[in-house]
Amino acid sequence: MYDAIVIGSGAAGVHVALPLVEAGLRVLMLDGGVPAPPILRKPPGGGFAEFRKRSYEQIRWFVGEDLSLLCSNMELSGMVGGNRGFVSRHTKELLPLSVEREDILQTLAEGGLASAWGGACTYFDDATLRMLGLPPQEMRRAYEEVTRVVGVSGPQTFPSVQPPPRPNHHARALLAAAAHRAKRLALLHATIRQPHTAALTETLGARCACTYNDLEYYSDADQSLYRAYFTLEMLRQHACFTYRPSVRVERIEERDGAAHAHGHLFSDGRATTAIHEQGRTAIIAAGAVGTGRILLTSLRLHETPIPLVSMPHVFTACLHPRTLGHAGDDRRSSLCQVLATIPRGTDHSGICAQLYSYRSFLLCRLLPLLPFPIPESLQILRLLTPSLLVAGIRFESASANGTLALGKDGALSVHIPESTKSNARCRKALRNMKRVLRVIGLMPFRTKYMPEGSAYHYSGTVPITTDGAAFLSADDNGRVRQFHRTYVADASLFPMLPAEPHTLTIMANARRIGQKLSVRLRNTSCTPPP
Amino acid sequence: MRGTILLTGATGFIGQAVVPRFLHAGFRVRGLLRPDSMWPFVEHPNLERVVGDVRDSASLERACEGMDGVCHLAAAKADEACSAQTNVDGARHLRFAAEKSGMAFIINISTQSAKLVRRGVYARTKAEADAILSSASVPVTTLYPSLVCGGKGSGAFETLWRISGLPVVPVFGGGNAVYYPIHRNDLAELIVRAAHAREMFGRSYDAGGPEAITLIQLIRLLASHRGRSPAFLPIPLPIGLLAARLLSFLPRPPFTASNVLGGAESVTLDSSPLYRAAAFTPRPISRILTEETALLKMPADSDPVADELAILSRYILSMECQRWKPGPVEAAWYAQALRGHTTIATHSLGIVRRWPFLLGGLDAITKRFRDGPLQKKLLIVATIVECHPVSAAWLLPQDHSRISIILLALLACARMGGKMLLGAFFLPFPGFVRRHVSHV
Repeated sequence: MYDAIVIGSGAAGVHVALPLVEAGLRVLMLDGGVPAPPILRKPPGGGFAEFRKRSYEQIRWFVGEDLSLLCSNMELSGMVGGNRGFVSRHTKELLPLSVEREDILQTLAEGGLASAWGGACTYFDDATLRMLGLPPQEMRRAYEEVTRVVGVSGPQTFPSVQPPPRPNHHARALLAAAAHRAKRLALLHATIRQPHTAALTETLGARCACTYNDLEYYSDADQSLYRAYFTLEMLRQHACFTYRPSVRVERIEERDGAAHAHGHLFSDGRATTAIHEQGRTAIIAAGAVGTGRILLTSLRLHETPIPLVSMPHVFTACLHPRTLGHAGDDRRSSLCQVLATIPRGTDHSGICAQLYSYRSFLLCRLLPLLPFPIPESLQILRLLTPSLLVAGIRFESASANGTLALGKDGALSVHIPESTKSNARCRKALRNMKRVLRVIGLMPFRTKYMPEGSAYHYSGTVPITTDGAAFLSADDNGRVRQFHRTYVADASLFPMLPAEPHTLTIMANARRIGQKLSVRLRNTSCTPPP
Repeated sequence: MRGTILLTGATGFIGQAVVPRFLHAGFRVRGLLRPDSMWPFVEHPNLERVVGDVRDSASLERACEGMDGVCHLAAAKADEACSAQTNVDGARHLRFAAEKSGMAFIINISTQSAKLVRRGVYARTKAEADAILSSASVPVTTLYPSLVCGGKGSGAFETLWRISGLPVVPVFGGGNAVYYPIHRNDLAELIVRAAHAREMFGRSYDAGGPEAITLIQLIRLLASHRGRSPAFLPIPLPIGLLAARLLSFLPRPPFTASNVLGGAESVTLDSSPLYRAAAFTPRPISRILTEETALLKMPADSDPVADELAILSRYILSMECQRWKPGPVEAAWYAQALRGHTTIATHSLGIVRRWPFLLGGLDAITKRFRDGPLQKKLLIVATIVECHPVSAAWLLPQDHSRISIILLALLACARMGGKMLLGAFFLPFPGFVRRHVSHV
């Protein structure tokens, strides 16, 4: 018998397992385990311009080894297309989902959705943590510890943070403009700063500071940008950790003083043998949608909608006229350069813009945005690229804006009734954000409203509540109220989602839950039978 | 395994025939590929491409590393400014790199025109290159080919074929110059055999065909295959040279001084030592003519997918990057992408294939229908073009002055206006437009 069965190997799964394993407890991880394609570990080699001018293989990095991005809707499948497409492999067949217009991403990948993470991090203040239902003091310690594992660089406002990377010419100009116009920004309640990113600027263990500038997102070769599967590899070195990939866990059952996980092995997108594992506790870290699915199945709750928080987001293309005509720095990061935030107001929601100015962004993805014929669009984009920035704008969801329900046929249905475009609070926030962008010298010219759910950040299916008012809820140790020995460690616990990047908080919270659980399990340890 | 060989000019007219023969003979081949050239070969485990240029000594040294020998085919043929750089400096770099990496042999492909008395820039620079290479410490086999025929592409033979269709053919300096036409594949075979034969190292050979023929006779024979008999208009040499001089100001002159001189003077050659040493005799003129004219008369070999890619990419890159010509590698990418889009499988470009200029109008008026097959195809091709080393540089951020940005943007807008107007002509044919905007 295992001490704990962890379901899922994403940002939450690995960080809840790590303290347990470090405490010497026997942990089994059940996971979809679809591995990253080998090309992601292959260094592209050379400088960026050199690579673009010389490599015939570059197409395999940009649109995927199997050219899958060419075969899909390029506009939408940005972050999870191409070689990152493995994050959603086999989910269509194995995790049936019915949606109307929503774009919901599920994963069976090794390292979960964090394998397509852009790396932006925020250390939330106490007020935000309380809104998320998390104890601030414990979280601060967890933040610190998780920072040491993940490796975060940015403004050194938090212990163990590595020095920030040199901002590129766009970021320098924007940050200078923000400092210069601080008063006007203060009137708009906006903050502009260099973000924290989970990319190294100094070596950390076997991982090195990024050498593939501009191509970080297309290659994990130098392991600069954090991926959850790095930690998974670390865990697998421990004797007390067992990893079982190719497993789809369907339900949890508690009987005879143990938690039983039932599921199926799968291969080639088809479920094969049924499996059954038991442990003293079960920790579900399968992502808000996945965790919701498992708990609803376990409790046999069909046709019962539970809340789902999904983050509304849009992309805004901006022109930086001040840099027009300059090719710009030769080495620059493709990760978020500048973070602009406006907190929630009386008539608008909180909003956060992540500004990217990377050269490795395929211009062709912007082609559908322009009304000109293709050659002219390309010509114009070519002239504008040096001064083109993309703002990934995300809105706070103060409460659940969607529902998740399990149909009689076992398919999960997700429904998010209100679109970002029709939400007055979001529209107002977006107007404010555009004003802020204009103050720091940008010209937002085209906004693309993305389908609901396509930010791929979900939460709120098993919210932390103090009173257990919500139907399916957890206490602040992550224990699900309907169970005795079943815990949740992922974003499902957050009853809302702030606009700022929160992946680091997911990891810190998972670590916090894992630590508390390891203490409890050790104290009540009855030596498991061999 | 017969050893490793580097080919400069692998992507050229002769190189394209030589590479497969070396591979067939069991060599491991490394092709030197200029950053702005397309790679025309299909993938092969023993074929490797190295990006570099004979004008860039560092890249050449890298390419020479670990190679047993080199076959030097790279040359600037037209009277370009870069002739001296490519032909003379290139030879110097190659000699240095070959000596440095300790190669066993160099096969140098020169030209009969290097032996002419009155030489154009091409002939002069090639002769200089031969002198440089022959003084190398590495044994050099030099071949002097005459007129090389066969296959489609940039060969002189196809130009002659086109000329032979004219009612009146101008010939410079009487047209009595004698050629020894050799088939491209036979020359390639001789080159490959020269790489095995140690006894040939360090010697020079004429590499012509087995028979001699004058220019006028050759054109007459070609014309007879078309069922024509043209008249010849002899043009005195000085007038031809003057015309070449004037035309040299054009971006792509139809003929150059080297062409004029090459057609005016005869060189006698004897290729039998080469045939004996290589134990191979090339095919005679009569066979070349029957084989090749049949090939030239045939309509372009039509792989519809590659054709479509060629049309769309030419349209997308319209004014820029003329060198982008899809090869088998790119066609395979495109075919793979099309397989992924089942909804556009049955869409064909139809009439646009015959008149590619119509594509601009069609693109302009279908722009709104992003999911339509035409726009999807254009987007796929644009992505392939963007992710391709030959064209990627065009799209990378560059410094521009503000004035040039405004002018170029205005030009783009003007072009768009033109395309819109062109598109308006399609409006009376809604059925035709619908085929390109909705799924079939």
